[in-house]
Amino acid sequence: MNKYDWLLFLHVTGAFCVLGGAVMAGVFNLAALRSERPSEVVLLFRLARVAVAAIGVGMGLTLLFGLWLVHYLGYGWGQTWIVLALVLWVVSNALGGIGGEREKRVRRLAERLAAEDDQPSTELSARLRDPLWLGLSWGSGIVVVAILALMIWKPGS
Amino acid sequence: MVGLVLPNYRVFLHVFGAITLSGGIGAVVVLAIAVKRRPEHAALLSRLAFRTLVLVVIPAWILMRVGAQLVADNEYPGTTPGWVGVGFIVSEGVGAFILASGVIAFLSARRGGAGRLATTLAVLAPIQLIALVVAWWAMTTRPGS
Repeated sequence: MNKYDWLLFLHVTGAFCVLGGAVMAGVFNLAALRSERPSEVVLLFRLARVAVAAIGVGMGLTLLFGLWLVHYLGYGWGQTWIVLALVLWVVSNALGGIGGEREKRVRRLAERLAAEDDQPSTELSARLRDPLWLGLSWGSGIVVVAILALMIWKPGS
Repeated sequence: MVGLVLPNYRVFLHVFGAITLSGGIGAVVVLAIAVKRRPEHAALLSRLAFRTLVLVVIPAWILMRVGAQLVADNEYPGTTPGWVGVGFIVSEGVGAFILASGVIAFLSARRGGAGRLATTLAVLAPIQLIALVVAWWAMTTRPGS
């Protein structure tokens, strides 16, 4: 394996972590939406931490080795697909970060309810279905898919 | 324009399927391990593992495999480079493991996540994830090409 192979493999590994993590988070979030008992919601949100960790590691790997590849291969930094990918990387992180903060508040509510009587709660149900939170979380995932499409089509290269 | 979009469309299908497959299997790994660690929620977790296999993992495998065949037929008609062969061998092996895992997850979910079936799933699922890493290593580094 030469240097290019290593850089590409680690960059692609990062992409697998990000998008794979997003799929995992989607599975746990959808399951939480269908759950009624607060203790189940707490459990599923805790499992989603694995996905969040994968996404965090993947975001770092894709950026680090992506920039390294651009430099190594001599792509122009002003090429459309590279600029768009960097902008979308920031947007995805911002959406995911804001969505993550809201998720923490929902998880704390679920933890409190689970510790009290662990009965279904209309407040928890409403918070889980908050369209803004869902839009931020799913929007972040869609932006990452758009980055994947940019990496494959490379418009403007 | 059509000539530019179509080949990339095949690659996109393949890569998107592979990435969704890795995420789905990752979720099954987490759920299968959690079944053993959180027995009070074993029924919920084992049911979710089975549903993830059926609704995410199997469709993603089909998308990945169909995309791979479209790319191979388009780029290497009549010949199969060694690294493409590695990809096919791994993907078909993973497919067999997925089917076996689906049966085990179904039986485990019916028993509420109790017993050795849940342990078996917790062993099988990480093996599939490791196999996928081998496949994406072969696809990116193309050994022997």
